[in-house]
Amino acid sequence: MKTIMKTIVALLLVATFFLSSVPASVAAEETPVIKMLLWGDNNPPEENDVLSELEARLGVKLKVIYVTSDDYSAKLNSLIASNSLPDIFSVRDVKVLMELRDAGMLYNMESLLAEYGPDILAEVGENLYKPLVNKDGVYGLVSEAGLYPKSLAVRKDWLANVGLEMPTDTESLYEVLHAFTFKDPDGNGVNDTYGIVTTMADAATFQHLMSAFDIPIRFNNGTILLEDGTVTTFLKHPRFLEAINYLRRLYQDGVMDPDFATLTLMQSFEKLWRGNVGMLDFQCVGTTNNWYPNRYTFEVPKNPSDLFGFAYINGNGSVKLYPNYQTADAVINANCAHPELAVKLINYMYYNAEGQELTYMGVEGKQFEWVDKELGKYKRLGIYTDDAAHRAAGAFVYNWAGGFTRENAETRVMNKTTQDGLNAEWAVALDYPMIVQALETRLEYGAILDDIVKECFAQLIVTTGDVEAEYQEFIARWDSEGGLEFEAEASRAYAEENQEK
Amino acid sequence: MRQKKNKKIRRSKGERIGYFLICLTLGLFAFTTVYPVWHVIMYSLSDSKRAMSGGFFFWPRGLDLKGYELIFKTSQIWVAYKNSILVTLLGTVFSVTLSAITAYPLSRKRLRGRGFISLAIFFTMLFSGGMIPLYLQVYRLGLINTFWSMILPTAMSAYNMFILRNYMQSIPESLEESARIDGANDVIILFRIYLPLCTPALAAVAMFYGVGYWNNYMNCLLYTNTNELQVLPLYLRGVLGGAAANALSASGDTSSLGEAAALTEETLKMTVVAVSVVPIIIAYPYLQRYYTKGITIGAVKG
Repeated sequence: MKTIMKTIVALLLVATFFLSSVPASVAAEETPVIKMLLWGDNNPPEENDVLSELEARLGVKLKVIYVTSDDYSAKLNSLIASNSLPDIFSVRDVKVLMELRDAGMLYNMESLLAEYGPDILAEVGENLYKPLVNKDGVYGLVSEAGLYPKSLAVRKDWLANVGLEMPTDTESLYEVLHAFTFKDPDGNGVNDTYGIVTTMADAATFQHLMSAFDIPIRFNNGTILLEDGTVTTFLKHPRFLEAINYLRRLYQDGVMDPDFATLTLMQSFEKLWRGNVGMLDFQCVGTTNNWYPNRYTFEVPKNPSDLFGFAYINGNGSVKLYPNYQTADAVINANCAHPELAVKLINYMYYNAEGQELTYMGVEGKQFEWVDKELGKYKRLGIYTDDAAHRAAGAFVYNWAGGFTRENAETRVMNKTTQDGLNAEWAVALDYPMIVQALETRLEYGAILDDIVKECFAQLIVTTGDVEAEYQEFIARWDSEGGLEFEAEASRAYAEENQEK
Repeated sequence: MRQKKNKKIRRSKGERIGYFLICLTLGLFAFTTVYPVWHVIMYSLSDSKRAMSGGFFFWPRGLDLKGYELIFKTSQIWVAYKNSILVTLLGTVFSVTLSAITAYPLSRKRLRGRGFISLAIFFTMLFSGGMIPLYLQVYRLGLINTFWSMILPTAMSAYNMFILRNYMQSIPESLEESARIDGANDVIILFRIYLPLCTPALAAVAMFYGVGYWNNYMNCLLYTNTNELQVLPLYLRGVLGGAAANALSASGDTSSLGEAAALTEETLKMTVVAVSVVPIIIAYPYLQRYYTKGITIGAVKG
């Protein structure tokens, strides 16, 4: 009996061995095939409605190798090493991108754009040669989608409850924050609210507070341009200490959530969702669009503009956003068998309105239908009201940002409150000295300098010591840890790039 | 009258206090060890919005299975489970076999150059060629996008092989000698005599390999390009990343976001952890004695 059992188990294992080794049969492909390496956080099936529709419209079969965002670099490196790159892919590392171009592994699509990429030319225009990789040709395309400036969203119902108006300067802002914290704005009789939540996890949550003092704050390479042409850290802004003293007042008076140093970004969102804070400085795409109304745990009005208004302190908004010109969101492999089809595919999926609609929302009449196209209102059909089914049909997964253009499928279907909020922010966003070229000092010292900036910022808010003295110590440390070298290189690079204009 | 014998050992007051303190300390340690896992499972079974308020989770707050529904609703999870189970089973059998047939000759003193071979294998424990050379090797063997690319590149662990080798060395050579006298060759000696005696070591090594294969996603990520070969850890990474992306994406009409919008990233994280760890938690108690034995058997010469 034991021998029979052993024999059966052995035979089962052998059968599984051979079954798992059977290669999938490959049908002869008549339609040209384009392979794309894409990063995303979904699991779409390889055959789906959107890919079938793309093939029908363009005569191109798209095969996607889909990996998660965190694993993209590892996968790309292994494909580069084995010289088996897909036809279309993106490169997020400036060093790798330049090496690929210099090694002749990227296709120069300049000559194909007029015929196969008309939407690309129409949308990008003179910015086509701005990306670092596009010197002497067009080797990469950079997306301008998802550049959503931050909005300081304020609970309008709380303002009404405490009898105050939307703040417009730092004093009225303080007054509102104080009332939101101590005057029971939600009327529940419990002292459980704060004026505003901020977090060191993301400088965005401080942007409007700092821009009130003309300071464009960013924790990652946050620079300003001084009057003498020096590009340096925002810590050296003439009004920095003034801004810090204002934040210290908010912190010490308890109108700002005291856990700002340790909160995660998600935890800060949760405080807004639970109605524990009256203000959050973040992109309104979340506050009044994506999170509305399902994320909020309290009852909210149908129209988000009845709950939230946007504040601009001293007439300033958040920090201006630029695309990352050091990377490329779409490049074509120099060995691509059909480069013209690759350009055609990129043009249609990411720059053409109809193609953006297909890849973002699915097939019209099957996954969705328009309720009012002018207003961007649509509804999903049948089983596709469920996100999982919608994505399994191929919608959203290949184009979750809506396209590569600033106005795209995603922005066109946002509600009016959000669209107005975004447009208003674009008009008043603070600029900073954007430098395209990769700086060596940034590569060498960037991480340390950013850490010093963050430490300085947090420490100065909470310190009980001499703020001025501690500030000078941090500045001295920033200077000595490579900051002065960065200043010299960045100032030279900025002057160079802006002289060419 | 016969006095009833008091068989219980009488403890002094100090001993009773000491015993109590020991139990209390160990109980606290046990709680701090077990509670995080319990917290994860209870959080994953709770309603997202109620769970956001934080604090201890001894029981689910508003039983809600939306997270599990989201993970198990697509057919891809079953493909991933199937692949993970196949890789784990086949990989474990293959790896244990490979390790055993490598360990046996290295445990025999009569093998010339066994010291050098052992050193060469040991060297690989300290230094490795890295991801790219290994990828090139797999590529040139034509294994890219095949099932066996998830097993062969990491089929044998030097550490596990040495555990088996050391255990085999502890088996008396007289057994081998008497088997040879009876006419047995090396293969028969290995499979009929040594392997049955090495059951504890084999079980421990099998457990190490099994857990390794179950958790491994890197081979699948690097060497396969198709969803048909996706394994569970990779699938769950995609689900988890999607949760973070959901927090900020403005995917269409908010009224039709479905279950995904009602779930926070935290809930989905907890659900993902629960889904991937529960099979191990179920299997582990049965194999624990082999695990703890396995850590030490290779170190102690019999």
